[in-house]
Amino acid sequence: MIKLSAISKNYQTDKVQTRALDNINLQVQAGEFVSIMGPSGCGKSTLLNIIGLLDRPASGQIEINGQLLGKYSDSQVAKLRNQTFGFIFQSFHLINELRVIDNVELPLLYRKMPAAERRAKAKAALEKVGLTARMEHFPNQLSGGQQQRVAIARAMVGEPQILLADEPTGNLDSQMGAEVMSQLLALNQAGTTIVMVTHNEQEAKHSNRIVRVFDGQLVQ
Amino acid sequence: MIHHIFKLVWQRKSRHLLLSLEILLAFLVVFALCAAAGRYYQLFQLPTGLSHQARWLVSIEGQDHDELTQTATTASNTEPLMAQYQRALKQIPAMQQVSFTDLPLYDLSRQTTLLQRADTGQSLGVDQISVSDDFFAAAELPLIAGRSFNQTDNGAAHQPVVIDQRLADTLFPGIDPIGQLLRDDATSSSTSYQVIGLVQALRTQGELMAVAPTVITRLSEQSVPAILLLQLAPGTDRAIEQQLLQQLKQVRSDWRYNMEPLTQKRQSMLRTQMIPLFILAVLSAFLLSMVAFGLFGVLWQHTSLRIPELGLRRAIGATAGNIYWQIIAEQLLLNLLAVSIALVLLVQLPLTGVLGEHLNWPLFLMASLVATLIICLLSLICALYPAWRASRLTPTEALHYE
Ligand SMILES: Nc1ncnc2c1ncn2[C@@H]1O[C@H](COP(=O)(O)OP(=O)(O)O)[C@@H](O)[C@H]1O
Ligand SMILES: [Mg+2]
Repeated sequence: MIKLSAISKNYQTDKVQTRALDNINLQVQAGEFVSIMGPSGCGKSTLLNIIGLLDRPASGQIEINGQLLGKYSDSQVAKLRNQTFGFIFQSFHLINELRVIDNVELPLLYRKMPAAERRAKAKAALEKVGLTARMEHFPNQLSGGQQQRVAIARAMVGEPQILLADEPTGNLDSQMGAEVMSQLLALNQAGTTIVMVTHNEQEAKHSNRIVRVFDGQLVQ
Repeated sequence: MIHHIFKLVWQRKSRHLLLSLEILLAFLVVFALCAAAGRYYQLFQLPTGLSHQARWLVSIEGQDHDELTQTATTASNTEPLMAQYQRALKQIPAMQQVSFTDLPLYDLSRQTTLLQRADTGQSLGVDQISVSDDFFAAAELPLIAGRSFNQTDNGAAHQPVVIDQRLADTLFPGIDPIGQLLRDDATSSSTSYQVIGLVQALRTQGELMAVAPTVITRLSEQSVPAILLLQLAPGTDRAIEQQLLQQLKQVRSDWRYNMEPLTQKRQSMLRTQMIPLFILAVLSAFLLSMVAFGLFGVLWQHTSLRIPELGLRRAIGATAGNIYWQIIAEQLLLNLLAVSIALVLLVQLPLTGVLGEHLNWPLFLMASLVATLIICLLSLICALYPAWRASRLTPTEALHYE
């Protein structure tokens, strides 16, 4: 489903060049739940962002569903982000001025879809994460765990094939983290491919496979 | 999407308050400029009742009225001064008309008085000018009803007057003004007037003078001449000035004569009247540039604050173009909100009619439209660069922007 071949990525800051990723080869099969682990600063987020097309590698190739990503135009990449991937971030990234329901609806705004259908899908997604009652709240009126569940609903509302989560429980206490984890497991059981960055060995145990990164390279 | 953008702008209304106020203020000033310019244009299109080409205006200075009444009785030449000037000036071959007024034309000075309709007692403040019989010919002021002054008016029971359409419409709505009687309401003198003629308009200050009800009274043939309006053959050049002076001095060499072609006087009058508009334009330009800088700064700051949000949008499927247009659409929407508030305030002016014809509906609509376009264009220009910059960021840069 996803195939990375010889992916490298550098960051240039002032005079220092950081090699964030170095010759990464990785495959993720449909329906898998993959955990990416490694020490802080080893390149986990960079890897996840490259998988999710949020960032471009310096070199290497990405294949998605058998399609090699060459010089894709901005709008083609945007369409893939919108339809194939769902993202969950450590810091939620909800829009505070928008109500929960509007936040969840957001990805659908970038599709051609009637307003009523958008609303219905957003409601269904919120129902799945058990937040129907908080639909009209603003994000800052919710707990961290609830906010991350809203973010999960937003990631899932467009029914993507692949869910990418960057330390989704990193900002949550263990109880809230457990809630979020159970949501992700349920989604994986329902067929969604998940790639998750985590620091937590317990959480990683739930996944089919653990990929370890050290200093920009995969370690087996 | 529009609905979504509306929600965003609305939720951020407190952050946008200052910006909106700034836009609102700029809009008001630009509106004032457009309305004033429109008003001037309207006025410029209206008839003045004056022809200025090949006309000279002579104002006489140095008359001593006490001395005049004495000499009038003792002088050997008993012919009235007006007639003497007329005869002397007609010696010039190019001279076509010689007429007299008590008020300079294309000049800031004006005379006003209070007139009363004799039958109803309704009174009205009017502009007033006294002219000699030849004035209508000299100014090419056409009558649209009745007649102008002539010898038959000597010794008439009521002093003859010619009025303008505005006066007729105000004091005699729906009735024929010719033959109607008026009384002087300004002084205790019970002078009574009879309307003998009607002109479309006589705006002595020229093209940019607001239309005011005007009464034209007859300058007595015995009066001391003050201002002359001369019509010369077309194409007469400025060299005529020497001849004019020579002829004028023949009548009274001790008086001073200031003469100027009417076209030149009109030019300087127009320039004078344009000064307020010019000041308003400079003020608007200044304010607009201030607003543009402010707008740009605030927009820059707002988009910077929003970069994580925009990064998120990119991550969930917005194209660079989506981001670009979102910022521009938000700015235009905010702009239209501010402009709507300003318009709700401004529409009171034509609704209540406080400014009368200075701001009538066509003028209001024109000024609103033009001012809205200008302000929207300004906003648009200020939003282009911040929007472009925001749309260039990659999603990861944007998400981690500090
Ligand atoms: N935008 C950036 N500019 C410069 N260096 C960066 C940037 N993002 C990440 N890096 C560097 O790249 C390396 C990998 O970062 P990251 O993928 O965020 O690590 P992790 O998520 O594993 O903590 C780190 O050394 C980090 O400092
Ligand atoms: Mg990270």
